[in-house]
Amino acid sequence: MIELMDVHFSYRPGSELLKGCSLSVSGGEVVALAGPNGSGKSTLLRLSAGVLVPREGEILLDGHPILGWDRVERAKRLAYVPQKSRVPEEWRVHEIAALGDYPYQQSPPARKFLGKRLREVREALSLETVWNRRLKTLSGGEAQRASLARAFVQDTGSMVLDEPAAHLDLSYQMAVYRIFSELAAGGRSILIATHDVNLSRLFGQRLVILNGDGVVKPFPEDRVSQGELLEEAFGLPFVSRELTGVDCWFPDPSPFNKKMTDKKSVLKKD
Amino acid sequence: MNHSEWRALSLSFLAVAVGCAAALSLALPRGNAAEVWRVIRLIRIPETLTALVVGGGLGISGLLFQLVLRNDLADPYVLGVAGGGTFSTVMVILLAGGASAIFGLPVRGAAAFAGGFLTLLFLMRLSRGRPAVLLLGGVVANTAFAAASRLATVLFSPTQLAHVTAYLVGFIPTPPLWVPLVLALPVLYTLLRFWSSGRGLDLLLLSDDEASSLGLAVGRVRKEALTLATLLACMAVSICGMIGFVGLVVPHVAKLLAGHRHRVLVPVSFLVGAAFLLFAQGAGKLFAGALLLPVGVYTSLVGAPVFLYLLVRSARRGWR
Amino acid sequence: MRLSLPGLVVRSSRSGFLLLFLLPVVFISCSHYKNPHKRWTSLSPSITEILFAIGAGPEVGGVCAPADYPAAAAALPVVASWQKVNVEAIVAASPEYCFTIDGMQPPRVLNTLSRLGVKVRSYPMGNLDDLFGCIESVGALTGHGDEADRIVAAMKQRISSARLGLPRDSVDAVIVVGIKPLVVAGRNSFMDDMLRAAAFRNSIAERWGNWPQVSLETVALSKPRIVVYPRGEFPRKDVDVFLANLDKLLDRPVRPLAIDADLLSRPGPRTPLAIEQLCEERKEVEKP
Repeated sequence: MIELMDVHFSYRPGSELLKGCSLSVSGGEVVALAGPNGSGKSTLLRLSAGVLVPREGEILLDGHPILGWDRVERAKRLAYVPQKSRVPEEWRVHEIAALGDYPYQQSPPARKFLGKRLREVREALSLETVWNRRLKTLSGGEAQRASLARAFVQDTGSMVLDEPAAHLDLSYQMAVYRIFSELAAGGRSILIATHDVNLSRLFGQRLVILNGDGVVKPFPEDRVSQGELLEEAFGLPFVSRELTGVDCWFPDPSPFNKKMTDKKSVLKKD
Repeated sequence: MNHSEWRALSLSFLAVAVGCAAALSLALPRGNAAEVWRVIRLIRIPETLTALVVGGGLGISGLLFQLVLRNDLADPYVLGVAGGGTFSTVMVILLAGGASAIFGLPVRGAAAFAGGFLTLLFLMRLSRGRPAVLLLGGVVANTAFAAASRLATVLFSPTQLAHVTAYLVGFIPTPPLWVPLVLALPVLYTLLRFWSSGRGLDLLLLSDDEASSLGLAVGRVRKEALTLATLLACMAVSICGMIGFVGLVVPHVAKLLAGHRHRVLVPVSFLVGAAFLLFAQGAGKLFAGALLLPVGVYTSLVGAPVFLYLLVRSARRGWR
Repeated sequence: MRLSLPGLVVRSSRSGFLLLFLLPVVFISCSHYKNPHKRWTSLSPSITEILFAIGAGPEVGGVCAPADYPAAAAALPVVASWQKVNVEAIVAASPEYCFTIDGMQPPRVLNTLSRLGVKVRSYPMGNLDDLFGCIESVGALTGHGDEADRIVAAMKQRISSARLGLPRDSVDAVIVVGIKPLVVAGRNSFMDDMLRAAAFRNSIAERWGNWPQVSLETVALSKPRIVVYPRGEFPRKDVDVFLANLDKLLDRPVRPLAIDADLLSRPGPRTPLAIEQLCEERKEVEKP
């Protein structure tokens, strides 16, 4: 379980990025964090994972301050997958996945069923065909799934993932979101950053928006407020369509189309 | 450990055995059994042990430097650590006179470590992570220290010029037997330490965020690896002077043989480094005659072209 | 063919150990050679000449390069040269004494030799008294003391008779031991003492140490009357160019004197020959 309470953070003194964020992800929940570029999504996730120290505010993991946990114990409770994983390209997929076992090797008793866990994860993420291949021979999506495999092998109660569906095609996106829902159903807390405001809600997951003001706002219940919030956060008009009982939101393309036909733009041929 | 890792360990162990045989038995002087045995006992065995321990230590040192600094071209020589260590050793020798020859070993070792460590800190500060600047700074530091060593010799004790010059090239001395045994202690410690925590070293390849979220004390492990690498390099330098390129070439060969897992890379680097220096020592005996070229010449002959090749390859890849 | 892992390890270890077992083969093959047991090793050409002069020649087992005098020395195994020593050959031969002069070998090597059980005696060689003391000491240690004393007496006699009739005052001279780079004999060098014995004054000695490397201007400014150099050591052209340049810088042309290289730079029993030549030259200088 992850809790952030009134967290302030700035990379440079004088320009505060996060101005009092509060967020809580309890067991059995998947929370998706969306927002424009530069709003501080990655920063918020890094704070949640205990990688950064907030200037003000508290961050709790399983009820205790996250930085108070012993390092290895924390690694057994929280897995973090950044946007870009920096694994050297000679490594093979199964070796990358096995990295997730590290915290269990550090303190006894060592986990006995690593092999079984690896097989489970391999099946869940459909990595059978690339299991023995080196990272440099993989596509972006396969590499992304390999990083996810590491986090899954780590087998933690909480997971923080930064844009886990970034390079995945649609079928894998759906598969991954389904896995998140399953993991949550098993009692885990999952916090993900995403650009997609709809997919998580279609899976019954909770959405929060980090707008440009550095504050986290929960996605409202009613349609009008939803539209207002999105427009305020992204600076675009949005339109909604209903799908399986959920209001899905898309940026309104008409202003863009109109602008194209109006101006004599550089993009038009004479 | 998988098949290729076992194979790498076996091959490198074999290479060390061959190297030992070469260094012990090539070009022995003629004589009766007692005379030849005296040479082997008094000269060959300590020299071979020294070459083994120093070569192995330099190999591990190079591996750790390349890992922590994320730079394929790092090694104690290139980074100027050897230069700084040699300069301090030379200063101790010059100022303490003949008395420092063998009995001053702990003092020389400590001075070498101080010199090497300070040089490394200074250069890392200066380069702020830019690899090209770090390497250039190291080469410059080496040249500067070599010149400073020569100048100091001329100023303080000109009769030792040949001795100091030998230090600047790198040679295997004929020390009393306890010298390589003492040097073996930090080497053994490093081997054992990273045998059990080799996985931690692997994690250093990831970004700091990932590594620390997996439970690794990133800063502490990095500092420990860097300190041990500097210690091993400087102890080697305080005995043998600036033997170049061992720390550079050996990790690459080790990775070719054994893959990329540090649990097995550390012992393989030790063995390959030891074999490299043992073969250089054997070549020295074989081609010596009365010439007696110091071993640093042979390691440079092999190492410099390899360094050039790696430099070009690294530049093509954009200094990754 | 996939080898089993334990099998691979065992095979490699076995091969490794097998090679180490080859060592005794090498050992035995090297140790068939019976060294005739010789008592002395010389690490300096000066010492070589001294040993042969006092009659210890047949007992010398190893010499230092260049071993060109006497002729018998050329046949002996070379175990050392300037700054280098074949420690293994010496340890194998285990002489009773290893003689050398200060500065020929680095102290480190001599320390190593003594630590390995070889007795080393290194003699200072800064002046003629050092030379006589060295000959006497070597004679005493090798059991040829009488012969050594005779040699020293003869040398002193020769030098005294060469000095008869020398003018009282000294004339400036310089001894050049290297042209490219220009190196001269300085203060505290043996050659400096040779000059003094022949009523010369080393024009460089005031300011510099043993073997200073100097510039042409420095030599010229010291205004030497004589330039002594080892014959046969440098190409003729270099010597001519050097002397011509020096003449341009001096108001009075300098007198060159070539002395055989071994006589000039190798302190030993033949040194009086060099001093004789220097004394003759000194007597020539004052003649108008």
